[in-house]
Amino acid sequence: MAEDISEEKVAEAAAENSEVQGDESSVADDVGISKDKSRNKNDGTVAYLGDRIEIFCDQFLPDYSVKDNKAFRACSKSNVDEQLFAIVCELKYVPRRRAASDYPSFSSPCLLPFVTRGKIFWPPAQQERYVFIYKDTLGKRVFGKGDGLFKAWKPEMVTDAFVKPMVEMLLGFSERGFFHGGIRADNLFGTVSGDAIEDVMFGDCLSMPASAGQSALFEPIERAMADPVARGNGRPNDDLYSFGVLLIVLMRSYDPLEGMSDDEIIREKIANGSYNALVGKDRFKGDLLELARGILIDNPEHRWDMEDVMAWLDGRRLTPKQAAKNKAASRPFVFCGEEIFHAKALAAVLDKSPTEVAKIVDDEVLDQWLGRALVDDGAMERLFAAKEMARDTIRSSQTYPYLITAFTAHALDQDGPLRFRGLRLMGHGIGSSLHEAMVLKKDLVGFADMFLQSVAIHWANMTQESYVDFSALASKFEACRGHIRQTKVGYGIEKCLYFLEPDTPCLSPIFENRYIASIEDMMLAFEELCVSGHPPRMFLDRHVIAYIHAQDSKVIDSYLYDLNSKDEHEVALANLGCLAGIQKRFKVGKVPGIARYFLNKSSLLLKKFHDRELRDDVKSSMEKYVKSGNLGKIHALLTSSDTINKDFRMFLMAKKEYAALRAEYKRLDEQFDNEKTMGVATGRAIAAAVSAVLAIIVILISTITFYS
Amino acid sequence: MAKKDNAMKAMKAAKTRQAKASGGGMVRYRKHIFSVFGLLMAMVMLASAFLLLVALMPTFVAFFVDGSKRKMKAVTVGVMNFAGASTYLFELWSHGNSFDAAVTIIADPQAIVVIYAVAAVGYFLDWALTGFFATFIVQRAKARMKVIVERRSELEARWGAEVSGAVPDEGHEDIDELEGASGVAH
Repeated sequence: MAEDISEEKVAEAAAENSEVQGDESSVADDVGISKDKSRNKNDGTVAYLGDRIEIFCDQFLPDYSVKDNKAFRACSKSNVDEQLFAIVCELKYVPRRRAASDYPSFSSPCLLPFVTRGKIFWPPAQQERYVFIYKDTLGKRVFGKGDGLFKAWKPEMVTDAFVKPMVEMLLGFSERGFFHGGIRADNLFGTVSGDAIEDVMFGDCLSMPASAGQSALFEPIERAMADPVARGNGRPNDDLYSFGVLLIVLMRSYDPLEGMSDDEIIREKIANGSYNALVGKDRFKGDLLELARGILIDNPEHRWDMEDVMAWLDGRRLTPKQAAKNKAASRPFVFCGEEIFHAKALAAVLDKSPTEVAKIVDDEVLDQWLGRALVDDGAMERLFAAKEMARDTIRSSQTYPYLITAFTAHALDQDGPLRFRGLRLMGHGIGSSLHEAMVLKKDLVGFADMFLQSVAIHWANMTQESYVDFSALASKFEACRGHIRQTKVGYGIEKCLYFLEPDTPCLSPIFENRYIASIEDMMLAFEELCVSGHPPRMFLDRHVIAYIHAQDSKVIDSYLYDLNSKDEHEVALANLGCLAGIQKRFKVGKVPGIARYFLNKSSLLLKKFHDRELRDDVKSSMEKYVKSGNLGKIHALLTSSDTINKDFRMFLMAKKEYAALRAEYKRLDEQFDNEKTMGVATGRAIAAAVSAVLAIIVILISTITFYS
Repeated sequence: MAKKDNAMKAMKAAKTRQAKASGGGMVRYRKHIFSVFGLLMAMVMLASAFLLLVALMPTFVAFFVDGSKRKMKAVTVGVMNFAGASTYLFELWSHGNSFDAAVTIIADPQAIVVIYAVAAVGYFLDWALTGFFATFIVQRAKARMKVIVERRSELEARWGAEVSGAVPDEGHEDIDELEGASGVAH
């Protein structure tokens, strides 16, 4: 008998979390909803993570919230004195679950202590959400509400209290390939007393996609230009850049960029370089100047990496390359009424009017500006290549302006994001952006077209960052193009989502109000739906199939063909087979609800068997396995090749017998057409035979009598 | 499969026609030989022939009355008729097979009665047995048809309408090939 392993796993995981105190490195895998599920639905003010963590829905902590992800007070039953808090993730954001596995292994004092994570039933929204639980050791925000982005701290204080611990933290990240993505002013906490600060610490960086909470100020130019949710995981020196911006903000005496929008900040950085834009008229002295200049170099290839920073920390003095300003044109390019002097800045605004872009490219107005005003031969060559790329597209088609805009923007700004149909995406952020679009039910045509028209592949192949291998990304985009072209279930835009963003939960409408973070979650959700009397029409829809395929293709590959069949029987059987495989592979435990669902569908599942008696027998056997909730046994019953072959052979024999009976009946029926003469010939033949025998006897008797 | 059956049936029919064509000639040939032989025997054994001519009158009647091809009625009556005439045939042969003896036997009313009575038994046998077995066969056929109907219902109840071929077998569209492969004729 299969045991309810899944609930035991939940209990074990919750038990692991019981030792919260003093064990920052211990981490549980995703903890599930409390065993006592009734509590989750009935309480309006408390949510439960496992059996030990309580989250108080009415104790909102605005200071700890990260954009739309709100923070609430929490506590552990095993240690009620210790303050915890929970960050409840909005559905539109993909939480960084994989990063959360690595996070607890870093033991920096600048990192927020992690407790656990998992999904909960969130009463205010009456739906399941993903949460991260941290210890509340943050202290106060260094930059309070209304504070300007400057502190004018002395370099000595900044070095001791901020730089040294931060560099250690970033070194740890760099060694393990971890990207924080949350280094910014409003995420900095500590204990400030007068001019001194202690215990600096950053807040949450896991509840949103990497860098989604960052303003343009704290991101390198190329990442700042992307949609926040589409920035994707960055490189270690992107965290360094953010750290460098924060360093300047802490030291400067005023904010030269105050009141500027994100676009204006980016424009200022492009025009004057990040360091100069951030520092303004302030002048810094000392070693920190060198550090700041080095890590704020806009060219990613020349920006300091951790090796350079550690060398600086060791006392070696490196002279950072002068922050080369982006080349300015001798005369501006006027686009949509705006005067623009830099190629990067122009690239950033092209997607405001794709039809205008098509015009300026076709009329070679842009070529002239690049050649004569900007004098950038490289950009001209790239522009020519862009035109070649778009050449095969019919100019009158609706797609052409978008295509030429995307390729032209990338020709002008090789480090910049992919710009297409209003989307601004870094390669590794496409998945989370697609997730947001699906959750918010936005138009997905841009994403589909991006792959179909090879815009994403072109972007990955042409991106300038030669020290980063984008070939793997290009291969992923190539695969996505294949997925989009396929209309079958298991492919399409859904497959792209789960393929590009493995942290995304399953977005199938079957799981309305549920958070499906894993295949096990999915099975348990199916079980709950069946037990509650609201099973789906069929378990595996497009989203579910694509999700399973992305998580573990082996468990579903062999059923994909049947799942695309028009025969309901084959689809149902494939559903059963796949779920049985999942139950076994992931050790889900018994699922009597799902088993009963398939029992109720037995008329469909048993169609393959011709013998009605065999159907009844198999159904009786299925009923036995329903109680044990063993889908594998039910599937084996229905797909036993011996049984199927025997049934088919017997069916053919029955068919033959039926045909023979029909022929015999027909023959007899034809004889009845002449009922009067029916049997007469036979009777006469018999009479003749009897008569012959009698005659012989008579003749013998006569002969004997006569001659005796 | 249906095409195969039709081809085989056509071949069989052609062979039958061929056999009939060739056999029909043989039958007609045999008929001529028998007639000639019969005439010769009649001439050689005139007395016996005369006796049999009179004695087998019921047989001749039966032959002409019987409308069937195989003339089984004539056979039934004929063999009994001959059995009845055989005693007197022996008597004729014991009297030297003379024509006078044959006339004497024929003129004897007792002889005629006996001979014709035995022939009547043949008529009776033909009537009784034909009627009995014809009724038996009809009833048996009816019973068999009833059994067939019941059995077909059983098969349909157990195997579904697909067993009759009226409804296609879903999932086994290539059933003809499968049947051929399994050696089962449709």
